[in-house]
Amino acid sequence: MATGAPSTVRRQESMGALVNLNNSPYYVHLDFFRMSVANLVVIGLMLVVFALAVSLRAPGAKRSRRPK
Amino acid sequence: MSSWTVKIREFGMRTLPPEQLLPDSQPAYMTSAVYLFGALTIGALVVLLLSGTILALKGPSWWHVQSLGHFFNSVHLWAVELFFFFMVCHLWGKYWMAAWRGGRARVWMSGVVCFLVAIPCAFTGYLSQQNFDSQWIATQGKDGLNSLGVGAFFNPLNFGQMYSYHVFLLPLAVVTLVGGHILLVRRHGIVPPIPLSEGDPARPA
Repeated sequence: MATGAPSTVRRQESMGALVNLNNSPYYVHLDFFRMSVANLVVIGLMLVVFALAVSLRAPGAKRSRRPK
Repeated sequence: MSSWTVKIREFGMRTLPPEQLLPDSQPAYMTSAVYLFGALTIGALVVLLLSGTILALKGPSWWHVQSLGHFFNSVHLWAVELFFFFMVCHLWGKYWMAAWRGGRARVWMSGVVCFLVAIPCAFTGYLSQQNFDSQWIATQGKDGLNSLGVGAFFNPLNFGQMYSYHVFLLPLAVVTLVGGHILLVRRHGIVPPIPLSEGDPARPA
């Protein structure tokens, strides 16, 4: 909500979202499948974070020694 | 004949001794980031409770108008986003570990119930915003709930009822269930990795 003095407006704009949230939301629509891009981004982030958590070693974890 | 307090104490000491309730070490297989999602979910829940308490103290005219109110409103929103984000990652991790193995069915099922109860808790939060968004969600949601036959005692258009559910009944249920879930995890221990089959090249000789 951009109201008030110009300085207030500038401050609010500088703290705004990374994308313009005043537009209509974008959707991916394929036959029966319909989902907003925002939700797809969140699901994608969850998959990325989960894959990193599974594949990366935890901080401080020692590599296990395997017999040669 | 011992009193009920002694019986409860003896039951607690028998089922969950202090060194098992608050252990000083964990198995080596827990040194993986995938085991952090449960703790991250609890962290998000704590932020949710604290920010929600502040919002409840100040009221809608504060969280919609004042800058600090906007801030705590956003903290509450992003805490619930992270709560579900980490809870779903926790669910995926435990599903692929088959965390119900070794007599841990109650641990698994209590987590499932936590997830199911957290959903209406978040839903009533969206209904408690006091803006056009909450009105839209309420009018859309009522049709679905009426089709299930629950509209007579759970009415999204009844703001007072939804707000009571959101700030008291459902958070109490979620916190109680999460507490029970943690106690069950302590009781049964973290599920070990699935053993490698014979002949698997990754299996140590």
